[in-house]
This record gives sequence, C-alpha cells and structure tokens, in this order.
Amino acid sequence: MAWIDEEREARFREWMAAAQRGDSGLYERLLGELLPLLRAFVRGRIRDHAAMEDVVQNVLLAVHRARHTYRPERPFSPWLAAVARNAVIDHLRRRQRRVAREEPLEDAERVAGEMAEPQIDPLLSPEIRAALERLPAAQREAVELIQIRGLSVAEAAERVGIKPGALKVRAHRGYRALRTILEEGRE
Amino acid sequence: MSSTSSERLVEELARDLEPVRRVPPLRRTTAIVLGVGAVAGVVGLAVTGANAELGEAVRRYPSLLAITAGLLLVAVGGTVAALAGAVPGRESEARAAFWVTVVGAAVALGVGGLLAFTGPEASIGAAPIGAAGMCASIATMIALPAAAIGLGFVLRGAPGRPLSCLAAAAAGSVALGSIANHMHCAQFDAAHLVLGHALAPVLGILLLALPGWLLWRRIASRSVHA
Repeated sequence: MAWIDEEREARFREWMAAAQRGDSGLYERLLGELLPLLRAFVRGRIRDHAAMEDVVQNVLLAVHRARHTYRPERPFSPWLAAVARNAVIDHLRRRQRRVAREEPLEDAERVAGEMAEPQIDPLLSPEIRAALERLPAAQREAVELIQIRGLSVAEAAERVGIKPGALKVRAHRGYRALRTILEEGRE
Repeated sequence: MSSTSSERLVEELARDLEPVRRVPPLRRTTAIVLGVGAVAGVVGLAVTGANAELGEAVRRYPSLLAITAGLLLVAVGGTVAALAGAVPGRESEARAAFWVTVVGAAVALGVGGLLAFTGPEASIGAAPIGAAGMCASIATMIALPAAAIGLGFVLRGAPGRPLSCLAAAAAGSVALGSIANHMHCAQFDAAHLVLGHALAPVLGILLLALPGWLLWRRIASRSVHA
C-alpha cells in the first residue's frame, strides 16, 4: 500500500511480529492504526457506502485469519494489500452469489433455524427472543453460548466444534445482526 | 452498520489473542517439496527399476528429452506457483512461476508431442491405452509425499485462488513423479508418451487437487462462515 510511509511500515512489521507471538496489546494498536487505512483502501474499491464498513470488517477478519502467513523479514504493506484485495474480491464474489440466490438462501436459513430448535432463555424479553430467533442458526448458537449461557469463547468453540477465532467471528456477526433487527423493530 | 462495530471487532480480535506458528520461508518450503519429490522419485525408480535401454532410447527418441524438460519446468513452476500463491504479497513470484509452468506444459505437450508423433521411430497405438493410465498412476503415487507437503502448505496458507494453488501444487508434484516414471517406462509409443507421461499432471490434479479443494472448503466453512 503506497500510503504506508516507511516509519509506519517499520512499526507495523514490528507490531505484527509481536502479534504473532500473542501480544494482544500491540495487535490491537496495529489493527486500530490499520482501520482508517483499510477504510480508505476499501472506499476506493466499493462504491456502495452501506456495504463499505461491512467489507472493512471482512478485511480485518481476513488479516486476523492470515496473520500467520506474514514473515517479518518481508515488507508489510504488500502483504496487507494482498490480504485486503483478496478479501474485497471474496466479498464481491459472495455478494454476486447471494444476489443470484437470495430467496432460496433466506428460506434455507429459516428452515435451518426452525430445525435447530432454539433453546432461548424464557426470561429474555420477547423482543430480544424474537430477534434471536431471526438470526441464522450458527450465529444464534454463538450468541446464546457466550451471552446467555455465559461460556467463555474457548468453551463455546469447543462445544460447537470450531476454532475460537471462528466462534468470535460468528458471535460478532450475530451481535451486529441482532442490533440491526432490534433497531429495525424500534423504528 | 456503524463504524463503532469495526472498532469493537478490533477489540474482539485482539482479546485472548493466541500466538501463531508462522508459515516457513518460501524458499525453504519449495526446497523441501522438490527435495522430497526427488527423493520419492529415486526411491520409486529403485523399486520399479530404471529402463536399461534409457541411454539408447534418448538418442533414438528426442521426444523423451523434450517431455522430461517440460515436466521439469512444470514441477518447479507448479510448485513455486502453488506455494507463492498461498502467501499474500508473493503474487508476482506466483505469476512468474505460473508462466514457467505454462511454458513447461507447452514444451512437454507441444514440442514433446510433436516430436513423438512425427519422429521416424515413433510408433502410434502400439502400447495399450491402459498402460498410459498405469504410468500416470505410478507418477501420481510417487508424487504423494511431495504433494502432501505442498497441498498441506497451501491449505495452511491464505491463497487468493485456492483451487488454482492446489492444482499447481498437484501438477508440480506429479510432474516430478512422472519424470521418475519416464526413466522407468520402456514404452516409446507416441500416444503413450503424451497421455501417460506428459499429461500425468492432469491426473494428479483430478486425484489430488480436487480432494484438497473439498478439504479447503470444509476448513473455510468451519473458520469463515458465520
């Protein structure tokens, strides 16, 4: 990425190497500094402003998932640009596929949701319960396990049989969807 | 969706961050894959036995050398293309290696095939078609150890085009296996050389890359789809 100057490039390399060793503080600073850069990168490629932030989050997730492929002796910006570019292309491909089969997918999610009988806490407000029921089964399960049953991310991931990072992603998407549903309901 | 959720995502991703094992350097992985492929080829050749008339055959059939040279380019190009393609930021190496693979395929199939079909000594249709399948299968079996390492690296990496990377890894490994088989096989029929030797990497793609692709989709659906 041409807009990462030398000083930042050196800092990002160092922080990414630290993140690979498990330093969450430096990793948070790295992602925090990358966020505006990624927004600018995505803005240049996605015209739809509503989708832009979504794509930025996909790029963040892609950076997170691919962080083991970075080697500190190599420059950071080409690595970041490639990850970001791939994530944007993936997003566009997925969107194309989703548009082509939007209705069947919604039906499939609804049917999957109905089949995986929700075990939603009856003490929750009807509004939240209804919103939870509208989530895709996988997201609902992640939100329930962490927020309602109080499991840690690691425990919930073990229960579901996926990696903790993947469960975090599911839960995060679930929270986003929940908020959107609740906001829609209040309008 | 508001931008605050992106900031929250940053916090969530950083929370409970676990150390990761870096992918090894590209050169080292390439050397390992090609080295393992070469060792497997030598072992395969030791088991099946080298063609005793190989020296004479090379003098009589120039297509043998052209196919070997082409397969060698496919082996190196395919392996580098696959491994570089699995690491973000190494796209230029992957692209260059892809073109080496294309040139290799052109040499093996185009030049090798042309020489085989027009060579004065080359017979056409003398070898049974099943023998070509057998040679391609032997090449694929010899390629298994190198393919396992190459495909494993691709699956562990972050390829922009996973299917292409898996196909390149499979083609590269099987091309090495085919060179070993080439030195063992005593059939010099033109159709056999093209189908069983020069085109062996295609069987490798079907038998190794496609299962790898299914595995990739499974891994991706476990780690990506919410």
